[in-house]
Amino acid sequence: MEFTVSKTDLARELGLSQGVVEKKTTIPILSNVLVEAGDGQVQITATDLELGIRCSCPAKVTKRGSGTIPARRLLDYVRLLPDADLQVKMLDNQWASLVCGRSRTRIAGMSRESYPELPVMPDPMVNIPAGLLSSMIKRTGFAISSEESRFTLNGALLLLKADGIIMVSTDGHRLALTESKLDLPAIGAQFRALLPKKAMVELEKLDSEAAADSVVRFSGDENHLFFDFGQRLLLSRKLTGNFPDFDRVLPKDVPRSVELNRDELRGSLERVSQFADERSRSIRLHVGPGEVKIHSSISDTGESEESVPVDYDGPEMEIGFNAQYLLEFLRAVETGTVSLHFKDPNSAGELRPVGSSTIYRYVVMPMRI
Amino acid sequence: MGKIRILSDQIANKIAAGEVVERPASVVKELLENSMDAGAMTVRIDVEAGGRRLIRIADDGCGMLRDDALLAFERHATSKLSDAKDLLAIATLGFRGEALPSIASVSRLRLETRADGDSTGTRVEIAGGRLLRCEDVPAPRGTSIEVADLFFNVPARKKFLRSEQTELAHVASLVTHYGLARPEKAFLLNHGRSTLLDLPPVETLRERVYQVFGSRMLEDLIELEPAERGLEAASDEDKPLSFRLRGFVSAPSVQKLNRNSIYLFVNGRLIRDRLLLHALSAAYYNLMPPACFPVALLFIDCDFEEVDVNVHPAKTEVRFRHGSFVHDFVRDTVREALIAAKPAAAMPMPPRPPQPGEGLPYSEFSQRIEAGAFAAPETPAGPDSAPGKPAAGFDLRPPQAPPRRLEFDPPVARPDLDPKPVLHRAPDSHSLLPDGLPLADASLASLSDLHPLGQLHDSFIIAAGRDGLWIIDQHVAHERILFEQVLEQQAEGRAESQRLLMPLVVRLTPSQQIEFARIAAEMERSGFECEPFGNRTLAIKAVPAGVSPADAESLVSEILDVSEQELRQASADDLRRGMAASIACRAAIKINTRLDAAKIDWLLRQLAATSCPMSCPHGRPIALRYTTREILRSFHRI
Amino acid sequence: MFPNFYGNSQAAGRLWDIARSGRIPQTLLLSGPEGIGKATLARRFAALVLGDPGRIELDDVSREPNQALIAEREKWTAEKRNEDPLVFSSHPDFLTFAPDGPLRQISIPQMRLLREKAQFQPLRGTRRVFLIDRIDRANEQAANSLLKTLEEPPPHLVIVMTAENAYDLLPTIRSRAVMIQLGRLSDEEMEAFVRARGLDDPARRIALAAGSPGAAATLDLELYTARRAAMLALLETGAGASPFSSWAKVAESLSTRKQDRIEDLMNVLLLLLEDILLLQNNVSSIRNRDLERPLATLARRVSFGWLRTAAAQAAELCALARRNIQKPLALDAFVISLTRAA
Repeated sequence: MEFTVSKTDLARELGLSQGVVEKKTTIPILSNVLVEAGDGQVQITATDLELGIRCSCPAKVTKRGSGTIPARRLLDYVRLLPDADLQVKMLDNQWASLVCGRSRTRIAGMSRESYPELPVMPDPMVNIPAGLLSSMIKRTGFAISSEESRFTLNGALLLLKADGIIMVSTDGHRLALTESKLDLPAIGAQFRALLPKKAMVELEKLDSEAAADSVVRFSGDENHLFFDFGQRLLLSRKLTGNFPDFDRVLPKDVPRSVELNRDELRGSLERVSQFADERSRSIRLHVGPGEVKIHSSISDTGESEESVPVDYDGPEMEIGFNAQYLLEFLRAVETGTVSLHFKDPNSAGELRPVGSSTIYRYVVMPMRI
Repeated sequence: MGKIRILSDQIANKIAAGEVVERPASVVKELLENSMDAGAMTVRIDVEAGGRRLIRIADDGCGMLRDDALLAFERHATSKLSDAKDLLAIATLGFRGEALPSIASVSRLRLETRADGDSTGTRVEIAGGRLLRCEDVPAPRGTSIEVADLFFNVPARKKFLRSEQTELAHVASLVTHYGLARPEKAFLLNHGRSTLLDLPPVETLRERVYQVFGSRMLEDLIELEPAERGLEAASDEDKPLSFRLRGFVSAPSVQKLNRNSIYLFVNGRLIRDRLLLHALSAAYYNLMPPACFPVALLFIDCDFEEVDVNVHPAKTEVRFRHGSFVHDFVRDTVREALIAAKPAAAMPMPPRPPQPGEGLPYSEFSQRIEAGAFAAPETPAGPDSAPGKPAAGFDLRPPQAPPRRLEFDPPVARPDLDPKPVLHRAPDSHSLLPDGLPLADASLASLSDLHPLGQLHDSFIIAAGRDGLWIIDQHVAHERILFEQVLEQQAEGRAESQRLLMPLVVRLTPSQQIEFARIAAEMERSGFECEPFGNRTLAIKAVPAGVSPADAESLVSEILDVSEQELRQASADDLRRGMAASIACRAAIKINTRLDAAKIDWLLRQLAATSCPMSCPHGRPIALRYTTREILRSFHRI
Repeated sequence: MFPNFYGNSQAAGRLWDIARSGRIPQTLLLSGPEGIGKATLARRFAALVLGDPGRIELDDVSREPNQALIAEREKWTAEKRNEDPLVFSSHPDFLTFAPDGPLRQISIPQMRLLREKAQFQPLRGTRRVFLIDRIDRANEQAANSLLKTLEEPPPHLVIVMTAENAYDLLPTIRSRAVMIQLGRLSDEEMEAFVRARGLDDPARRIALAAGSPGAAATLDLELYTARRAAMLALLETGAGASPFSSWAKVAESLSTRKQDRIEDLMNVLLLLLEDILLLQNNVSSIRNRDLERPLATLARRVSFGWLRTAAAQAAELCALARRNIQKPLALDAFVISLTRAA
C-alpha cells in the first residue's frame, strides 16, 4: 500500500475516529486503525467491536492495499506535521513509513488479517437532514443513566415512525423526550432501537460536522444501526433490553403551570444551589402569586433565596427538586421561555420549551426535603 | 504440658519442675521479679545461646547479707535432688520466692551479692542443687545471679527447649514487658555481644514506648489522658473505690489480625483478660472492621482487693470484683480518646532497620528474632527484604543518647542503589524525643487546612498539609460525611428523598418480608417510600436522595438482610446506624470517579467537619498521612 | 462430532446436539479436573454456534501470546488491571473471561464488563457466546455481580462457564446453569491425543498427565521432575524417613523459584500420595513408575490416616494459595504438621 494524502485531511479524519478506538488493551489490534487505500481515496476504520467508524478522504493512491497502524500514535504524530502532503507506505514487515517534507517516520503496525470485519450497511431506509439527530441528542443525552439497572439503560430509545423521529432517555428520576416531525413513509409502522450512549456521543460529533444541507442515510438491521454521512459511516450494535413504557410516565394530569424566563431561572438556580446539599442538590420551588421563590439551605453553612416573577394565581405550592436536574434541561433547551407544569408536591413536574414547534418534554420527579 | 506425656513417668515427674522453670524466660522472670522487689533501679540481663548456655542478671538493688543468701537456697540446697520426689515438692510449692532453689536445682548457679552498708559481698555457687562454695568476695552493691547450663542435669527437659531464637524471643518479650511497666527503671538486655534492648530510665511512659518501639509506632498511638473513675460504696461496709487508667491505644487505621498487640497491665502486672479485651473492642466499634484489633498498652491501677489474681496458676488472668464497671470505664475512656484525637493513619512505610521491636507486638518482635534475623546485626537489609516484611538485617541496637551528627538509615527497599554497602551505621537516635522537628500532630483536625493537589487513580485525593502529605480515600470520606448526615436527618425525621419515575418492584424473600414489616417505619424515616405490593413484593417509590435508581434495589435488599441477620436484637439506634451506613455507602462518590477541584475542596471541608473523620462506618480508614518527618527521613535529610 | 477433541465423548456429544438443535440453554456449566478440555470444548461449541472457528481458537488462553499477556498483566497494579479488565475477543461475538492477576482470579471488574458487553446485540446472527473460564476462581462479590446477568440474560446471550468442581460454586449460580460433567481421559484416549500432537516421551507424559490432555501438552518434563523430587523430599521428611535438614535444602531452592506455585507443587504431591496409596493396596500400576522404590518405602512407613491428613492439607494449601500465603512458610508448616501426624 502506498498513497499520498493531505496532512490536514488525514488528521481530521483520524481525529474523528479516536473516540471509537478501543481504550482497553486486551485486544491489541483494536488500538489500531485500519487504513485501506483504493480508488483515489483512503479509508480509515476504527472499532471497539461495539461501535465502528469508517472515514475516507481523497488521496493519490500509488499502490492499493491496507494495513493497521496504532491510532493514538499516528494521530499524535500527524497533528504535529506541517500542513503539507504526507506520503504513507506500508512496508512488508507491517511497518508503516510516513514521509512529509523533511520528516521521515516509521511506525510498527499489525497485520490486517486479525482486524475485525465490520458489517455491511444494508440499503438505506430513510434520509434524515443533517443536524437533526445531533440536536435531538443534545436534548436527551444528559438524562441517560450512567449505570444500568432494571429500568434504566446506558442508551436512548430511538423510534422512527412514518411521521417523525422520537428520542427518549431516562435515568429513573427523570425522562427527556424529544420528537421531530418528518415525513418518513418508508418506515412503515415503526422502527424501534436502543442507541448506546457511546454511539450517541460519536453520532453527535459526526452530525455536527456534516454540511448543513446534507442528509444522513439511516439504516438498521437485526443487530445494528448505520448512519451514513457520505464520506463517513458510523455503525453501532443495538442495545438489548426493554425501554420503559414512556407513555405511562408522561404526566397526563398537570393542572397548573407557570412560564419562566429561561436565563433568569437558570441564573437563580445556579446561585441558590450553591447552598444546596452537594450530593442531593435539593432546592425548593415555592410557587405563589406573581413569583416563584427558589430556596435552599444547608443547616450550618448557609441559605439562599431568590424569586423569579411569573404570571400565576393558583394555589401556593412548594415542591422539592434536584437543582442539577432542572439546570441540565435549562442548558439544553433552545427557547428563551420555558414552562413548568405541576400538580402537587408528590407528583411529577414537567418542563417544556415555550414558543417552539419542537416537541420537547422533560419529566422530573420531585424530592421530599 | 502435652509434650511431657510421651516421657517416661519417672522423668515426667522430674520435669514437673518445669511448672516453675520451664525455659530460660521463666528463670529471667523469677530473677527479674526478685530484682524489682529488691528496689533495683538498673537491671542488666545478659543471655547467651538464647539463655540455654547462660543467663546473668545483675541489679543495683538492696542486695543480701551472707546468711540471707544462703537461706535463699537452703531448703533444697543441701539435698542432691536426685530423687524425683524432691523435684515434685518444689514444683508444687510454686510461688515466687521458692523459685530460686528450683532454678539452682537444674543449673549451675552463681550468686554474688552485697547488701547496702555491708563491707564485703558474698558468693554462692551451686550446681544441680549441690552447694559447691560459699565465700566472701568484693562485690558491688546489689545482686548478680548467673545461671549457666540450664537443665544440664535434666536432659529430657533440655531436649524440649526450643531453638535459641525462640527462647531468646521469649526472654526479650518478657524484659520488654517489665520495661514498659516500669519506665523509671533502666533495663539492658544483651545477647552475647549484641544489645537487644537498652532502656535508660525515663520519666514518662510515652518516652518508654518511644524507646521500645520507636517514633513510628508512637505516631500511630494515641496517649490516653490519665483517667480516673470512682465507684461509690455499695454499702457502708465497703469503701469507695477508684480505678485509674492510662496508656496508649492505636489509631483505628492500625489494624492487627490478632490480639497479640494488646498489652494489659493491672497494677503493673501483665495480664490477659477477656473482659478488658472486649471493652477495647467495644471502644473501636464502628471505627474498625469487626475481625481486626488495635495495638494497645493499657495500665489499670486499682485497689489490690479489687482484683483476684489467683484465677490462673500463671497469674496472667485476673478477675475484677466490679467487672462491668471496669469494662465500661475502659471502653468509654478509650472511645473518648479516639474521638478526641481524630488520628490520621500514617503511611505504611518500609521498615527502617534500627528500630527495636518496630511494629510493636512482641509476637512480631519475637518472630524476627526467631527468624534468625538477629543473626547478622551489622548487615544492612538485603535485596530480598520485601517491603512490609521485617528486614533481614534487623538490628536490635537500642536507642542511645542522640548523637549530634548526620546519620543515615540504610535504604531498606533498594540497597542495590547505594554505591557501597553501609556497614557501620550510626546508631539510631530516639532515646529521647528528638528536638527540632516536633512529632507531627497526627490529628485529622488539620484536615480543614489541607491544600488539595489532585487525585490519584481518580480514587484518592492527594493533599498537602502543614504536617506532610495526605492521601484520602474519596469514597470512604464521602461515606463518613453522608453517614453522619443521614443519622442527623433520621434523628430529625426529615431525611431527603427522591421519588422515582416508575416504582421499582422488587421480590422479597420470606425473611425479608418479615423484616420489612418490622422496620418499615424506620425505613421511611431514612427516606424510603415503599409499599407492599401483593405477596412478597415491594414497590419502591422513593429512595434516599443521592442513591441512584440502579442501586435502589440492592440497597433495599441489603438493608433488609443486614437487619435480619445482624440487627435482629439491636436497638432502634443500632438499626438506624446500620441503615445509615448502607445508604451512605450506596450514595457516596465511588472510586474511579474524577472530581473537580471544587468538589475535592468541598469533600475535605465536609470531612473535617464530621465528628469522626478517621474511619468509615464500616471501619476502614479514610486518610493516610505521610509526615514531613518521614519525608525528610526518606530523603536522608534527618 | 467435534473434530480434534479427545475423550469425554458423551459430554461433547451432548454439546454437539445442543448446538445443532438450536435450542441452546442460556447458561452452561462444564465441570471437571484441570486440563481435560473444558474450555476447548466450550470454544468448539461456540464455533459451531457462531462460525469462524479460526478466530475463536485464537482466544485459547493457553496459547503463548495469551499467556504472555496474562503474565505481563501480573506486573501491573491492581488498579490498572481493574480499569482494563482481562477479556479476549478475537471473534466479535465470542468473549473469553479468564482468571487474571497474580492470584489468577476472576475479578469484579471483569464481571462488570461482562454485564456491560452483554447488553450489545450480536455482530452477526442471533447469538453471542461468553466463556467464563474457571468461574470457581471468582470470589463471592464477583460471582454475585455475575448473578445479576445470569438472572436476566439478554435473549441472545449464551454464557458458558467452566469449573473444576461445580459444587464449589454459589448454589444460585449452579442452579441457573445446565451442568455438563467431564472426566479424566482413559489411557487409550490420551495415547490418541499425544500421538495426534506428536509429543515427545509419550509413555511418561501419559502417566504423569493423569488423564489430562492439557497437562500432557504443556508438561515440562524437566520442571516436573524437579518439582516431584521436591515433593518427594517433603513427604519423606514429613513421614519421618529423613531429617528436617534434608527438606530444608529443598525448601531453600523452592522458595527462590517463583514459577513453582503452591498449586503446581500440590498437584504433583497429590499424585505421589495417590501412588503411595495404590502401593499400600498392592496395586502396581502407579503413575510415577520410575519412583516406585522410594514410594514403596514410604508406603510401608505411613498410615492411611497420615495420607488422608496429607491430602487434606494439600487441598487446604491450594485453597489458601489464592489468599496469597507465603510459600516457604506454608510448606514448612505442612512438613511439620506431617511429622506430627506420623
